[in-house]
Amino acid sequence: MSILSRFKRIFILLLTIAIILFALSGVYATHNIDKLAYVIALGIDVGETENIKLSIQLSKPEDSSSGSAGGSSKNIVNSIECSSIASGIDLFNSYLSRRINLSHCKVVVLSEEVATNGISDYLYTLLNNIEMNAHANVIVSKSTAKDFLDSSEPELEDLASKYYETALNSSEYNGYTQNVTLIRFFSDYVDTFTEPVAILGAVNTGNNSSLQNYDVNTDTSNNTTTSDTDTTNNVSSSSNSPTSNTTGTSLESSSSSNNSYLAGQTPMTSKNNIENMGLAVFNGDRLVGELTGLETIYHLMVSNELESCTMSIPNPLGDSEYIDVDLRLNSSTKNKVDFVNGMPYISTSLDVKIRILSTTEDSTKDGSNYYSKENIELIEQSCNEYLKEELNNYLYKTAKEYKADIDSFGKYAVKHFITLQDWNEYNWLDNYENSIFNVEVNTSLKSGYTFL
Amino acid sequence: MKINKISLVQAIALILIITINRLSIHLPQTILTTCGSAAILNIVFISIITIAFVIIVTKLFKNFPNLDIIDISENLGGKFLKYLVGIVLISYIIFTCAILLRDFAEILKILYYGDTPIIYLIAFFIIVCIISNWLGRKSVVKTNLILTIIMVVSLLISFLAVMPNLTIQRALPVLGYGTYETFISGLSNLFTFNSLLVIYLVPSMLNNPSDFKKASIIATIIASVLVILVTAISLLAFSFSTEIEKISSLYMLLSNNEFGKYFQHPESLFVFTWSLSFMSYVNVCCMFIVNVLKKLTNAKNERPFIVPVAIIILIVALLPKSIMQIRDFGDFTSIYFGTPLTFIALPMILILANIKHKRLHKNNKEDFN
Repeated sequence: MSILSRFKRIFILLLTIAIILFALSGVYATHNIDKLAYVIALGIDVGETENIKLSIQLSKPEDSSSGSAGGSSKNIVNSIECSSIASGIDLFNSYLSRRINLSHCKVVVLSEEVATNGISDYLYTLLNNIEMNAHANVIVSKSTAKDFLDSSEPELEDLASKYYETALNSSEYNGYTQNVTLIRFFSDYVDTFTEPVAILGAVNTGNNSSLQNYDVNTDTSNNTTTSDTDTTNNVSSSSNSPTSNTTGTSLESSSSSNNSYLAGQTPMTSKNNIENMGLAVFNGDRLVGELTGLETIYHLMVSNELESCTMSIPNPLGDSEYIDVDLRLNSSTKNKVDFVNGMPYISTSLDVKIRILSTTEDSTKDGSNYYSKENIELIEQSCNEYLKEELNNYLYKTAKEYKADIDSFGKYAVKHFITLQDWNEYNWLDNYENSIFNVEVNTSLKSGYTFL
Repeated sequence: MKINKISLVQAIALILIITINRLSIHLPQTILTTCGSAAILNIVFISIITIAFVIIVTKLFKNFPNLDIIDISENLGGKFLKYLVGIVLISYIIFTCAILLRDFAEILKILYYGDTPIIYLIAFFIIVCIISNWLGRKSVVKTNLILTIIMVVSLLISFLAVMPNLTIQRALPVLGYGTYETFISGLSNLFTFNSLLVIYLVPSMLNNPSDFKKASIIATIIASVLVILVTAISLLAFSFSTEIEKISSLYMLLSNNEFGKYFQHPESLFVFTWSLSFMSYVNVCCMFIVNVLKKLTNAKNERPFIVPVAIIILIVALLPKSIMQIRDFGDFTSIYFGTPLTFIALPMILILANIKHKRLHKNNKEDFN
């Protein structure tokens, strides 16, 4: 009995050792970091000889023994003409002699041409890839995807991957674009409630004709600009100021009374570098339009995703033409959809709070103090009227011009339907263009900052 | 013999592990595909029916304390019915266990072990199954209790993690594909609880026969809540949940969910817990099969059955050619064999056994008078 018991113990011990050996051995036979090439950005353009031109940006980690504390990396951008993403990646594998790995891919860049032709196949292919990072941002580039990747030279970051990670952080406090991930884009694309949007990106060449005009115009207005030098970036402190006047076709097509920018058109002096500003609007899987930075703020306000932004509203007190305010949502935006004669009647009610940023000498005097009871009411009313008009313009633009419900009003309409057959027969996304909007804005002026 | 008997909590864990393991594979996807936006409504409806059914079954067992369905079949129809029921149950449990094991191994292969032959992955579970069963029923039951708790906690954490990203309106239109499809055709989703078949085998294992009712009802309620929660998060998180078949809807959900900036891929941790609970699932299945075989053959020792059963599970698991074939086999067997067996055939045996018991009881009373 004791021999049997001893044999059992030895057998179990040997078996355990064998399992551990199998489980932990073979490190060199697996896909370790030396055999992989990590893609940090993927670009898709229309090919000249093949279906697509696939570009990949790879990260080449510097040798840690070189003493660089920052761990900077060289960016390598390669492009290939291929029939599909999978075949392109396979060709890259052959060329690089390393296995391409997409698990650290931070952005997927699609050229405008590709987005206009439809991107459904690319979405399905990318998300079918188990390695693909579903939280990669989707960017529609006004320049080619290859140029976009080539121009991504971070000025304040050593690691390109970290640069892509932090590039969209500013949208959290300026609202000029939105953090759109691949999985979110795909979910919105498949959804029957909403249409997808993507981040609008471009290469800012730094020699926009608008810059010169902008400087001239800002000299004549009271807006402040910093000096134009080769080494610093110069951006207007009120880039969405209604007084600023710029030229350029895209700007002309934006709201006539407002001046906001599309990606790549911000009047900035810098080397060629990428810029994310605004949103690309899709109907299904096809690009149908673009939203400027200011329109993106309206989109975030209506869809209840705005964190904070800076906005210039008309000054009802007359001591300056506009007042710059820090604007946030005071409570969740209330959207409601009813049907009048079969057409959607969409009510949206916004409750915002503002704090005044810009101030003047007059505003501190008793008679015209911004924070007197009467003046608070005047400023709040001015903000209400301004936002109401702007939001109406924005909503009718999405409905009539783009025919795309990017604000997910469909999810408020679906409660009127009992079965999926009824809902699909009504076809919300096609009927959205017939929508009538009613916007209500309630502004609360909270305070200024240092001066009251 | 009380040394091999199990407690109330262990019995709950035994019943539960068989049901909740399917949640990590394609169970939620099947419910979503058949019912669309009414999936939650359907699964609540199915859960209510199942709980009511389990209450009835426990009442039917009332006259047969400490007897399982094999013993009751023998009482009702002699050795023939005993062997028939035993062989049907063994075949069904072997097939279901093998198919689920292969399905899970295929998921692991797709996610992490692309170059590893599938037989290695399945063999890993089979070796664990042989060792733990060899060590006895107590070891299977005790480890199962721990692993079931881990699995339940893992599912609850999944729910809490995904909850902030849910869009409630995805449960609309409320009736999905229609009333008939939700409540009549949707009855086919009873297969979700096919695994409650094991409650017919539990009574003879219990330390205290009066625990059977409690164990069955509590396990069914916990399983129902978990199935409802997983169906809800699968439906409400993404629009494509009802449209696109996925290898594992819960994995897809977790891998695409953002857990904050510090946790990049916590889904791997969930897969690890699922692997552990799958090991326990295979152990428990093997334990039930061996138990039935022991009863059928009147053997004194169950150990000689362990290795052959494990090898049969391995061979059956290797039969399907692809993951699509596995799912076709699994759905077909569940809907056309498992559901009628669990919800019609075995209750019929219990009803007939109760009628026979009443008659005998009546005759005995008359003879006595």
